[in-house]
Amino acid sequence: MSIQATSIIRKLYDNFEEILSVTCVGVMVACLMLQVGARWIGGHGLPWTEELSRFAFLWAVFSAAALVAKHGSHVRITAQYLLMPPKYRLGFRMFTDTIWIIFNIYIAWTSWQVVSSGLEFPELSPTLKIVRGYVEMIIPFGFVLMSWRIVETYVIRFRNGTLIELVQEEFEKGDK
Amino acid sequence: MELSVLQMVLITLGVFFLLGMPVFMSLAISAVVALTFGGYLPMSVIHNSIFDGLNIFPLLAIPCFVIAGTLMEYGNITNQIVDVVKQMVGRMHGGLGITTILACTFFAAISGSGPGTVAAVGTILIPAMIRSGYSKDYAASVSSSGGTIGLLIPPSNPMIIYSILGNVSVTAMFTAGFIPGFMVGLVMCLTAWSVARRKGFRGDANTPPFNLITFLKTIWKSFFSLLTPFVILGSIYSGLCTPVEAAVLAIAYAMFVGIVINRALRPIHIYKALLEGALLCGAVLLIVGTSTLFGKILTFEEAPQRLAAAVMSISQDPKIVLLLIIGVLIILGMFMETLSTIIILVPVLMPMLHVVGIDPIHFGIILVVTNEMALLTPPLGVNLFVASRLANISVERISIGVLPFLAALLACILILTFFPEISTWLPYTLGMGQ
Repeated sequence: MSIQATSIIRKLYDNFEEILSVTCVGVMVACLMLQVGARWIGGHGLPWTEELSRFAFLWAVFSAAALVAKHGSHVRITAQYLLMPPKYRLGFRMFTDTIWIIFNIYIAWTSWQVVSSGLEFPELSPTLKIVRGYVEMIIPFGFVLMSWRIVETYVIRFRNGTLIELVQEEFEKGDK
Repeated sequence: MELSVLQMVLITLGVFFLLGMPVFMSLAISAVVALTFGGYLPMSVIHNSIFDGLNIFPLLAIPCFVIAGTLMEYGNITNQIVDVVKQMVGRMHGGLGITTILACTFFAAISGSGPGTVAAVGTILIPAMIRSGYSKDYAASVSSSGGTIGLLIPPSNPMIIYSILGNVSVTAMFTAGFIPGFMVGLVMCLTAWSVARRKGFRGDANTPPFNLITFLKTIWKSFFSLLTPFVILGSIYSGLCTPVEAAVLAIAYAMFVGIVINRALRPIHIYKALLEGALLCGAVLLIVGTSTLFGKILTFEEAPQRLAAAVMSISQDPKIVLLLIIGVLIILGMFMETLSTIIILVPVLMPMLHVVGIDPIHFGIILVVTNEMALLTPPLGVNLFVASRLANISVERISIGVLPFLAALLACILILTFFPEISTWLPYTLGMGQ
């Protein structure tokens, strides 16, 4: 494989949740615009745009969940750690994140059970006739991807020696 | 002592919150604990609740309003609104402070988010205030306080979430927020003015004396930008648009003004705006998914009924019950992010309101205003974080700076609690929410 091709693949791998979630949000907005336009001009909406926009939204939520995990910006309460030295904080953080990863996998597994049984007896969506299982597949996928990105972040930070910044608040970083 | 399932769920939730587990996962883990030990529901309820919780059409309005707000910032619309307001009040005592609050009020009618408003208006006005000799503390605290108004003035993302979870009409909530929103805005302006007077901050020296012709020229130049809030609010209030449609209209209008009129919007800005919307989906709306699951468990355990019984044993007076809830919200607000608080509490509190006899619209407004305080109270006050980054001072210093504004907000909350008509008069007069 040429160097260019590997660098493209590398870029895709690094950013694909971002590309996927932005595309989904874009599709969602486009569908909604079509819907409003059709309703105002033609008098009645296009039913498929409503359905597609909801599906796109669902995909956006779960692909972006992995992206947010990569940025380390999921909503969590961290103020209780402020009085603790960063080294201890890091210990707690790694402990918590390990539990998080385990439950991510567990939820993905239970969710996959539902999706795969849904694929055996496919249920079609009302207007687009998409198998519901394919749409819902994003849920287990999102949870697995989240775990993957959490582990990856730890590995990258460990290599760069920036592990401690994971648990530092914005204003503490500025002090240095 | 044998623990009931409900006790186990709540303890698990508390422990994981304290450990710093992401909120959405803490909710999911508590639900898994209940499913394991309760054994009354199949595990498939996890997947199905998460899916059902997010498969709700009105939720789509939330990322759309965020996208619209971001587009307006890139498309120079925010800039032009600030310019017009500055010419009107810039020369008074603390003129730029008042400008900030007014610009936030205006911008709030476009965007649905508090921190988004601080970022949009603060980026322009914090440096301007510092240049004009205002202290950094004042500049940062006015901007973070102004940003709270965004929650109350429609369109408002917390209100959309409240309406969906509490089964209240979104349009009725939006209408109800109108008068309280302006009331809070006015009180904030007075606070900004009096703090500036005490500290001796004069008006903006760079603003030339008021000149009607220049003023009219500015208005003419920014005509389309100034029209934005009227287009969005008008479309909702006239009943022409549902909130989702209004959000889409806001995006379309922002793109029209940004591309055709101001010629400032580039494709990269559109991409960034879509990314903003996506990030909000992944960080906040994901919580809606797992909280639906958590809520199902609580309902199964009859938690809302038990809570109602416990509160009723303290008092049955709606006002006192409201004050109790406000107290809890203020404390929770110090540690939790606004939307998460609403997502978690509304399903639990709603059944109680009916028992005690509190109007759901009135309660929604109280909930939203109290959550405005949450944006300003450390340790977790999102507006403080945004302002601290923009003004380059510590969160602690801003926290002290916002104290007068917090006092003003608290006064507003009490007024709104004891005079429900301020919130309910407009929607009921217009025949909504019945």
